[in-house]
Amino acid sequence: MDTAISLAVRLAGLEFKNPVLTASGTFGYGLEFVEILDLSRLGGLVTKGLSVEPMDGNPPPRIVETHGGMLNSIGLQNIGARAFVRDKLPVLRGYDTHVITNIFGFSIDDYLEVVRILNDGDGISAYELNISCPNVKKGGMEIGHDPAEAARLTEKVKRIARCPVLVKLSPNTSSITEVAQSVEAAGADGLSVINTLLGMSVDIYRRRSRMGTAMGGLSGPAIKPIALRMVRAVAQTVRIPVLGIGGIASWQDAVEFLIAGATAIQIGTANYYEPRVSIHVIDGLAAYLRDMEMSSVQELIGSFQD
Amino acid sequence: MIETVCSVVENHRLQPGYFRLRLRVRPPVEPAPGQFAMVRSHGEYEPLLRRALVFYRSYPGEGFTDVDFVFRTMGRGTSRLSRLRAGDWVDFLGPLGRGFEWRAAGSGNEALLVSGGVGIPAFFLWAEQLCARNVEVRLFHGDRTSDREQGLICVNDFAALLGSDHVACTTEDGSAGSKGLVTDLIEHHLIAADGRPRRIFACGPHAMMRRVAELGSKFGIETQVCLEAPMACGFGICVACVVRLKRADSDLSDYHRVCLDGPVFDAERVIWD
Ligand SMILES: Cc1cc2nc3c(=O)[nH]c(=O)nc-3n(C[C@H](O)[C@H](O)[C@H](O)COP(=O)(O)OP(=O)(O)OC[C@H]3O[C@@H](n4cnc5c(N)ncnc54)[C@H](O)[C@@H]3O)c2cc1C
Ligand SMILES: Cc1cc2nc3c(=O)[nH]c(=O)nc-3n(C[C@H](O)[C@H](O)[C@H](O)COP(=O)(O)O)c2cc1C
Ligand code: FES
Repeated sequence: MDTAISLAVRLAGLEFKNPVLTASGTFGYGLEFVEILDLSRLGGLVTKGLSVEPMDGNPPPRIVETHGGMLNSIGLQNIGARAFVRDKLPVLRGYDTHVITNIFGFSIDDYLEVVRILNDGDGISAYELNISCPNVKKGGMEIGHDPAEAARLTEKVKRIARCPVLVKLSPNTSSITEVAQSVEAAGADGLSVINTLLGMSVDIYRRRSRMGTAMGGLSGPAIKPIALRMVRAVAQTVRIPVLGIGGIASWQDAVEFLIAGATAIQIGTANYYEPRVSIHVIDGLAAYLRDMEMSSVQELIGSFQD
Repeated sequence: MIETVCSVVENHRLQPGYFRLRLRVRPPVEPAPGQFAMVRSHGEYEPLLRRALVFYRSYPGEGFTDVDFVFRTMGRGTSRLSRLRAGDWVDFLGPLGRGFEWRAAGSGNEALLVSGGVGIPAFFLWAEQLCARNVEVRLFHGDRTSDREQGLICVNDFAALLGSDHVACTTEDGSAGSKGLVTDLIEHHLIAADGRPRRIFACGPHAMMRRVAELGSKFGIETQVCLEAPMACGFGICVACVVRLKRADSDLSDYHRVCLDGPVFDAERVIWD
C-alpha cells in the first residue's frame, strides 16, 4: 500500500489508524472474529451493549429478514459488564485496535454503575452510550427521545468516566439534531449516528408479529439513505465528530458517509453476512484515495458540495 | 471455521423442490456430523443473509474437500441456491456449530436416528461414523408425502449404508413406507425393544423433535436433538438463534445460541414451547 496515503483520523482525543470501526451488537465482543480477520487492522471495534447484570434478551424468533435488511428484537442479551472486564478485555488488550464499550441501562443510575465497573477495566478507549435501543420496553427509548434527559445522562457519565464518551443517537425521533445539540452541550466527545429504525413484520396467517416482540429494529443496506441524511444533519449542527452508521456494506458506502460529514464509520449488519467486510472497506478506501489522488482521508470528511 | 469462496462441482435436482449441491472447499475442511455451513451465491446480496445448510456428506481430496448439501427450496435464499450450476461460485463459512456426540457414559451399542422431512441430511455423516464404530444404527424417517417416482430423499443412501432392514419410513399419506407419523413408528419400536439400552438422535420439525424428546424421557433413553432457528450470522455474534435450555443444576433456564452451542442439544435440557 502507498505509504503516502493516510487513513488516520482523530476523534474524541483518540488517534485511529483508519476510520473503519465495527458497530455494537454486530461484532460480538470482538474475539469471535479472530479466526476470520486480524482485529489489529481495524480502526476500532464497539462491543455488544453491556449492562450491570447479564441479560437474557427477548423471546425468539428474534430476527426477520426484510428486503435489503433485517429486523431484530434481540433485547440486548449480554454477558454483563463484570464478565466483560474479567473474561474479554484481557484478551482484547492483545490487539492493536481501539476497544469501545457500548453501554445501556434502564435508568441513569444503571448507566453510571456500568461505567464504574468498566472504569476498573484496562484497555477501553471510549464509552458509547446507547440511549436509543428500541427493543426493550422500559429501556433507553425515553432517554434517546428527550434532549434534556439525554443531556442529564451524558453529563453524569462524563463526570465519572475515565475515557471519552460517545453518545449513540436514536433515529426514531423527530428531533435528532436537538438531542445532538443538547448532549454536545453536556460534554459528549462524539456522536454515533444512527441506531436501528423501529419497524414491524406481520405474519399474515397468525396475524401477529413474526418476531417475539411486536416491533424490532431495522438495519442493513435498506436504511442507508436515511442514515446518511441524519449523519449530515447532525454533522452540520454540532462541532464534535460524528461516527456514521447505517447500512454500510462496502467501501463506497463508507466514502458516502465520510463525504456527508462523518469522521469515522461503523459497520453493522454487513458483518453477519460478510464477516470480512471491514477489511474490504479499509482496503477499498485506501485504493479510492489513491485513485482520487488524495493523500489523506481528512480531505474527504465533510466535503459534500451543496 | 473458514470463510472462503468455493466452486460448485454440481447441483443435482433430486426431485421437484429438492437439490443436492456439491461444493469444492479449499483449504480442506473436516465437518463433524451435525455441523453446518452458511452459504450464498458469491457476491449476491439479494437476499441479504446467508443460508444455513447441514453437511450431508464429505469427500476428502488433494488440498480440498468436496462437501454435499441436500436442501429443499423454501423461499428466496434456497431458490437462488437451486439455480446454481457447476462452475458457479459460492460464499462459504464453516464448518459451524457443535454436532452429535457419542458419550462414553451410558452403555449400549444401538443408535436410533429419527428424522422428519429435510432433517434427514443431518444424519449421514453421523451414521457413517457410528457404523465405523460398530454401532448398530437404525434410521426412522418420516415425511408428509413422497415423490411418486423418486420416493423419499436420501433414503436410498442410508439403505445402502445401513442395510434396508435398518431403515424404516413413514408418510402421512401412505405414499411411501407405512402410513402415519414417524413418532408413532419409533414409539412402537421402543415398546417392542423394551429394556435395551440405546441412544436416540433426532432432526426434523419442531413438533416431531418435541415428541421424540418426550419418548426419550419416558423410556429413559439419552436423546440428542438437532435444532433449527432463524440465523443472521451463524457464528455466534448476533444472538438471534436462541433456544431456552434448563440449567443442569437448578430450575433456572437460559437462552443459548443454536449456531454456536448447538445445533445439537441434549433433548432433556430443551424447553419446548
Ligand atoms: C443449522 C441449520 C441447518 C440446516 N440444514 C438444512 C439442510 O441441510 N437442508 C435444508 O433444506 N434446510 C436446512 N436448514 C433450513 C434452511 O436453512 C432454511 O430452509 C432456509 O434458511 C430457508 O431459506 P429461504 O430463503 O429459502 O426461505 P425464506 O422463508 O425466504 O427465509 C427467510 C428467512 O428465514 C430464515 N429461515 C427460514 N426457514 C428457516 C429454517 N427452517 N431454519 C432456519 N432459518 C430459516 C432464512 O434463513 C431467512 O433468513 C437448516 C437450518 C439450520 C438452522
Ligand atoms: C442484531 C443487532 C444487535 C444490535 N445491538 C446493539 C447494541 O447492543 N447496542 C447498540 O448501540 N446498537 C446495537 N445495534 C445497532 C447497530 O450497532 C447499528 O447502529 C445499526 O444496526 C445500524 O447499522 P447497520 O445498518 O450497519 O447494521 C444492533 C444491531 C443489530 C442488527
Ligand atoms: S445466528 Fe447469529 S448468533 Fe447464532
